[in-house]
Amino acid sequence: MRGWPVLFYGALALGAASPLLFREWGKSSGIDFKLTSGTPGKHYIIESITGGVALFDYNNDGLLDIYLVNGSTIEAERSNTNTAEDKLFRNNGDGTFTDVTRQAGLGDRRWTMGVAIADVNNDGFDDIYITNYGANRLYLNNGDGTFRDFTEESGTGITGWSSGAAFADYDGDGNLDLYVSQYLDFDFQHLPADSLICRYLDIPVQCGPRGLTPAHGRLLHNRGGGRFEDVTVKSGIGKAPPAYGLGVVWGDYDDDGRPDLFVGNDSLPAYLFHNDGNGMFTEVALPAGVALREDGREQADMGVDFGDFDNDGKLDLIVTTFSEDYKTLFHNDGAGHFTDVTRSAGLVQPTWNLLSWGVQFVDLNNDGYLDIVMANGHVYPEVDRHKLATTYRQRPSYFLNLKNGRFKDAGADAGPAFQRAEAGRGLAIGDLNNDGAMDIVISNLDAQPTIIRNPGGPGHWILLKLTGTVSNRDAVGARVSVKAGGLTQIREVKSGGSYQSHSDFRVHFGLGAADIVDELTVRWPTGKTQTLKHVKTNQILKIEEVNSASR
Amino acid sequence: MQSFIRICWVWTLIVCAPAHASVSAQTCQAAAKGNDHTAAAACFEELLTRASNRGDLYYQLGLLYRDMGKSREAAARFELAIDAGFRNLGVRFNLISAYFASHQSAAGLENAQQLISEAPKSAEIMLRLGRLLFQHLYYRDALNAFQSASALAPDGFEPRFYLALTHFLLKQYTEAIRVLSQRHFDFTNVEAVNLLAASYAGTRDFAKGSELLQTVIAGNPHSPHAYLNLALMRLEEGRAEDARGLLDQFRRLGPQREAKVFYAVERNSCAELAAEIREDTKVQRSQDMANFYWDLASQVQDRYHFASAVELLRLARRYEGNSERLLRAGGRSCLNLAPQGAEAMWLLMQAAEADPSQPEAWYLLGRAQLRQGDSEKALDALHRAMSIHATGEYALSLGKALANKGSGSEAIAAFEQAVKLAPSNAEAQFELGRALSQSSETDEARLHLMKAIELEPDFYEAYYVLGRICLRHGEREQSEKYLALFERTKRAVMQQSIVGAGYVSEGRRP
Repeated sequence: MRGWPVLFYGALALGAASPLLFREWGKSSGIDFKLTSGTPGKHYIIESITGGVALFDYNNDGLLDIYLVNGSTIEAERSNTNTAEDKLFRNNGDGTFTDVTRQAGLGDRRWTMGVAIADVNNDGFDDIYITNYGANRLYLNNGDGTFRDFTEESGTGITGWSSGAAFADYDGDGNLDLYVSQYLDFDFQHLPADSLICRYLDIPVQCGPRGLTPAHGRLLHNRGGGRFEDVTVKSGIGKAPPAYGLGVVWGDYDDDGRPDLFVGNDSLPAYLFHNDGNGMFTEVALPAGVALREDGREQADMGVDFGDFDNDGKLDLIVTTFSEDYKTLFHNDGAGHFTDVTRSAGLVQPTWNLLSWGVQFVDLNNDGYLDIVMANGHVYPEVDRHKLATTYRQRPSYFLNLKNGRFKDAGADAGPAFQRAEAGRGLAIGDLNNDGAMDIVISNLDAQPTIIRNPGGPGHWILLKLTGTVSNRDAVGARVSVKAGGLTQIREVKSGGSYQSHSDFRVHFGLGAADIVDELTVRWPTGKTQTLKHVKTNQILKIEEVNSASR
Repeated sequence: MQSFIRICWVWTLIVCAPAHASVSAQTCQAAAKGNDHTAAAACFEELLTRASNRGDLYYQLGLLYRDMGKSREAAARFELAIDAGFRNLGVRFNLISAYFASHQSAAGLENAQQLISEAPKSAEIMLRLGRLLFQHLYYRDALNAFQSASALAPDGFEPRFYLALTHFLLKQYTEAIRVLSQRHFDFTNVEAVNLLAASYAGTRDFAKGSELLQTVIAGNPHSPHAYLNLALMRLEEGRAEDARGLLDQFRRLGPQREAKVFYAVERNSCAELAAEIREDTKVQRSQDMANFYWDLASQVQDRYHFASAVELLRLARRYEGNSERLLRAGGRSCLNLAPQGAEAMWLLMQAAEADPSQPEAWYLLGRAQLRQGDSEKALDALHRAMSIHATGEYALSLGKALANKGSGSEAIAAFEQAVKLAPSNAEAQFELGRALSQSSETDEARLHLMKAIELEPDFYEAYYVLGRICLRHGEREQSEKYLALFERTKRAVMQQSIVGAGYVSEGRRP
C-alpha cells in the first residue's frame, strides 16, 4: 500500500516536469562517418534502403560501441571499385569514440544494408553479422579486439539482397539461430526501366518494389560453434510466399516461452511466424491481426519492434511504414490476437506524412512507460520539388507515452537533436554513457549519423546485463519482469530488430518515482526463472544464469 | 392398397413430371413474353420446386431476373443451371455478367479467367467477355479475351479495335500501334484513326499523331473526335492557342456528347493554373465560351482525365475569371492529380473563400487536409460543410477525420449520422462497423459490416473486420470463412486496373 501514493504523486511531478532536451554528440564525439548510398538523386531503389546501425560492447569493457554500415554506388558496384566501408567506433568512455575498423579487421566494402549482433559461438564475445547486396558476412570476435571473417565456415553467406537480420534461439538448444529477410531480385546489369511502377503521385521516381520480383527470407539453425544450416524449408518458414522483406524482430508474443518471429514486408502483408515448438513455424499474421492495418489494407512495412507499451504483461508491436499512411501500433489482446490501436493511440496524424524506418519502444524519460522513437526520411528526393506535405529529409520522432493508451508527439519540444532533418534509416538505442538514460543513434543517407544524447529524466532506472550459462550467452529471448512502484513491466533481450539495426543487449527499465525494485524476475530461454527482491535502483546490474549444469 | 398407391405416386412423378413441367414452362414463358416478369419469375420458381433438375428452366429464370435488374438472383439461378448440367457458353457468360452486375467481382473474375483459359472457339463470346472485363476495369484479363477473339476472327474489326484500345489504356502504346497497323485495318474508321493517333502521341510522337488527325479532319470535317483529340495533344505540347482554334471548330459542330476522347493529357499544369489565378491574368468575358470549356472540363473530369480537365479549366478561366466553380473544379482535379500537392489545397481554399456558402468547396478542402494528415484543419472544413448542408458523404469524411484524431466516440456519432443520411452508402456502413468494432459494440458492428457487404459484395475490408471480430469472440470457423472471403475478394479487386490518378488510383472508391 505504501508504493501507490508515492507513485501517484511522483507521476504527477514527473508529468509536470520540463520536457527533456536532447542534444547531439556531434563531431566532437570523433565519429566522422558519412553513409554512402548511390547518388543524391536516388534513381534506383537500392540507393534508398541501406542504413543499419548496431550498439554493442565488442571488447567487453562495459561501454557500448557503434557499428555503422556503409553502402556503395551503382558505378562502383559495376566496376568493383567501392571504397565506402562499414565502420566500428570504440567508445572511449569520455564522450568520444575512436575508429577501430582497421585494427579490428573489419571494413566490409559490399553494399551493406543491415547488421545484427550475437555471440554465435557462446565464447563471451559478441560477433557481427552484416547483410549485404551480395553475400552476407559473419565476423567472429577473436576476443582480443579483432574479428575474423567466419562466413564460409559458418554457412551464413546468403547471397541476393538481404535486409533485416535477427538472432534468437528458436529451438532452445542454447545456440543463437538467425533469420535473414530478403528484399527483392535486383541486377546491376539490368536496372529497372521507367514504367508505370516508377511513379509516385504521378511524379517519375525510382522503380519498385512493386513490379520487381520479391524474395524468400531465410532461417538458419545454429548447430553449435557458430556453424549454421539452412532450415527455411524444413521449419515451415519457406511456405510463406516470397515478399519484400525488411524489418525483422523476434519476440514471444504469446508468452509460451518460445520466441516467435515478425517480419515486416514492404507493400505486402506482414508475416508473423508462430514458433510451434518442434522446430516448426506457422505463419499466422492474418488471423493474429498483424498482417494488415485495421481496414485490411497492406502497408509498406519498414522497421519493427515488440514492446509492452501499456504494461499489461504482453508484447505489443509497432511497425513503421511509408508516407501517407500511419505507423501502426498493434495492441496485444492476448490469446494470440492483436488490435490495430493506432487511431485511439493518437498516432495517425503525427505519423501520416512521415516515411519511417528504424523504430524502438524505449522509456526515454524513465517514467515506467515505453515511449516510441522513429527514424524518418523519404525515399524520393523528388518530393521536395513538388511542394508536397511530405519532405525528403525528415526529423526523427519522439512519441511520449501518456500512460493512458495515447501518445503525444513530443519531438518539437525535445531539444535540438530532434530537429535535425535527414534521410534517416537505421535506429538503435542504448545507454552510451551508462547514466541510465537511453541514447539513440540514427544512420542517415549521405550524411553523418545522428547521435542523440539523452539528458535523463527525473525518474529512477535500472539497466540489466544478463549472461546465459546454459541458455545462449547473450541471453537473447530472456524475459525480464520488474515490479516497482506498483507497476509491473516486462522486456525481452533482443538481437536485431528496428530497421536493419541492433540495440543494446542490456534491458532498461525506467522506474519513475520508485526508488526500489520490489521484485525482478528473469525467465531464461531455458524456461527456468530467477528472482531477485528489493533491488537497488539507478544501477547497472549484471545477472548470470544460475544453473548447476552450467556450460 | 397402401402399397399400390405408393407405387403409383412414384410412377406419376417419374413419368408425368417432365410433361407437367413442360406445360408449366410454357405458361411461364408466356408470362415472360407478356412482359409480366414478376409473374413469370414466380411461375418459374414454383415450377422449379417440382423440377429442380431442369437446368434450362433455371437459365430462363436467371435471364428473367437479369432483365428485372435482380443481378444477384440471376447469378444464383445461373449457378443452379450449371449445377444441373446446363453449362453452355451462353449460360457461363451470363453467369459471369450477373456476378459483375451484382458486384461479386471475385466470382466474376475467377469464372471469366477460367473460361478464357479454356480457349473456347467462339470469337463472339470472347469479345463479349472481353468487353465485360473491360467495363469492370480488368484490363489485363480483357486483353487476353480480346487477343483470343482477335485470333479467332482475324478480319474482325471490333476485337482488334478493343485489343488496341486496351493496350492503349494500359499505356502499351507501341502494342496498340502494332495492332492497329496490321493488315486489313480500316483506315476509313475515324475512331480507329483517332486511337492510332493518340497511341503515337502516347509514345511522344506528336508529329505522327497530328498528321493522322489532320488527315481525318480534312477528310471528315464534321466528325468531332479528331478536333478534340488533336486539341488535347496541342495542350500537352503547350500550344494553347492552336488548341483553342481546334476546340472552336469543334464547338461550331454543335453539341457533341458522343465525341470520343482517347488522348489524356499527362502534363500536370496545376501550378500554372494557380499562377494564372494568383496573377489574375487578363479575362475576355464570354459566358458562352466559359460554359463551353467548363462543360468539356467537367466531362473529362468525370472520366478521370484530371490533367486534361485542368488544361480546359485554364481555357475556361480566360472567359470567366476566377469564379468559385472554376476554383473548386480546379481544386478537385488537382487533388486527384497530386493529393499531396500545395496547389489543390490553395485552389480549394480560394474556392471556399470566394463563396463560403458552397459546402462542396469546404468538403473538398476537408478531404484534401485529411489526405495531408491534418485532421484538425480537416475537421474545421468538414464541420463548415456539414453546417451548410449535411450529407452522408460529408458526415463520412468528418467521421474519418475524427477517427484519425483519435476521437473514437465522436467519430462513431459522425458515422451514425452518415448512415442515417445515406443508408445505402456501403463505405459509411463499413466505417461505422469498423469504428464500433473497436469499442465493445461488436454486435452492432457486425450488422453494419454485413450491410456494407450486402450493398457492395466486393467490400473486402468488411470481410476482414468481420473476421477479426469473430476471432476475438472465439468463432474460429466463421472467422476463417470471412478471412478467406476477404483474401479472395481483395485479390479480385486488386486485379482491376488503375484509372486516373490521385485517390482514384488507390482503388475503387474515389
